[in-house]
Amino acid sequence: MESRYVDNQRLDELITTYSDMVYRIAMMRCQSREDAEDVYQEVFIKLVRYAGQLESDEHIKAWLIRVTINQCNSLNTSSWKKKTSSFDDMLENGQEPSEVDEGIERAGEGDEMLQVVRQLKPEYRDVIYLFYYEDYSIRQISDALHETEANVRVRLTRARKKLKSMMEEKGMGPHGGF
Amino acid sequence: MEDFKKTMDTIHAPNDLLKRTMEKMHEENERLQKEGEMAPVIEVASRNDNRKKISTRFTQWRVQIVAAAAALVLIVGGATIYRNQQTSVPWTTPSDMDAMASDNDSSFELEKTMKGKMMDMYHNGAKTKDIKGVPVLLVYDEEKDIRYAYWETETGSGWCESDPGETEKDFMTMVKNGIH
Repeated sequence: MESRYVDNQRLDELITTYSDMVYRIAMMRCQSREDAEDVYQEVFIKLVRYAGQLESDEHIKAWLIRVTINQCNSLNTSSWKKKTSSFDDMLENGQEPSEVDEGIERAGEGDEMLQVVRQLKPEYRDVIYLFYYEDYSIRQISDALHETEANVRVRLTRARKKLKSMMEEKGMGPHGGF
Repeated sequence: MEDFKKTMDTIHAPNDLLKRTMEKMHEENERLQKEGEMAPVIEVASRNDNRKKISTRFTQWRVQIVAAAAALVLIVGGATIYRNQQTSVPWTTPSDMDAMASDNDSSFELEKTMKGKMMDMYHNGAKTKDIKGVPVLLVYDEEKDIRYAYWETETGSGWCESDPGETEKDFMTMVKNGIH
């Protein structure tokens, strides 16, 4: 019978491998760095309970993406969060991005690009991140998000169009190829 | 999207967050393993609880079903009795009265007809067997009656044994004369 538990060494390997991925998704999705850290911890603690049931590394990766997005959604829709100021509100109030997100190192135009992506709807951010950064295929994204492939394709197309128009508004060049 | 990728490459989870999370994961793992060792005992206890819950639920369901059935029977029975009381009024409905009246009329007519026929027979001496529409038991057999009365007179038996009155004597005489 397969053991439901994994040892601490295996857990350390998993958190080291997927730490940045989970943190990035959380940073893309959450409205503040504190929220992103909360989500990060919650996701990996959940992983302790379910790691023994997940078969492969690919399975674990897809599970982590899915749980991170769900955790962000539940955090964003909680009544507590509605009473606190959002990350975007802070940006609109003229605060410097460095004050908002200490985890992001400033990298010239790339930082601006990140801000544009963050202005997209959450579901558009997910597909953009998974498609362009994680190099996921449409099928893999649909598996990870539990959505149909057609739905993922539509989301991706709309996200590209929206991103392109936002970049043109900000006077950013169309380099990067959308 | 190259810029996006470059930016994302620069985002890393803080080291202190990583360490804190690792520690929490180890704690959680130990806790789960301890729970797992105690799991069989807890599992048996919870199974017994489940059985109790199921039996209690089943008993409650049975009681509810029986109560509902009893209530239904009472309601239906009460409604039936009430409906019968509303609809059945013996001897008093107009249709019953009409039927009774028609029955009385017909029996009265029959009785009247029979009386008339019998009186005719008595006075006219008609043959009773020719009368139609009159029950056989009620037919007056004049000849038989006369013969019987004559036989009683001759032998001195029956009601003529004692001294007969004037009317009876006349009747006897009339009978004798009629026969001979």
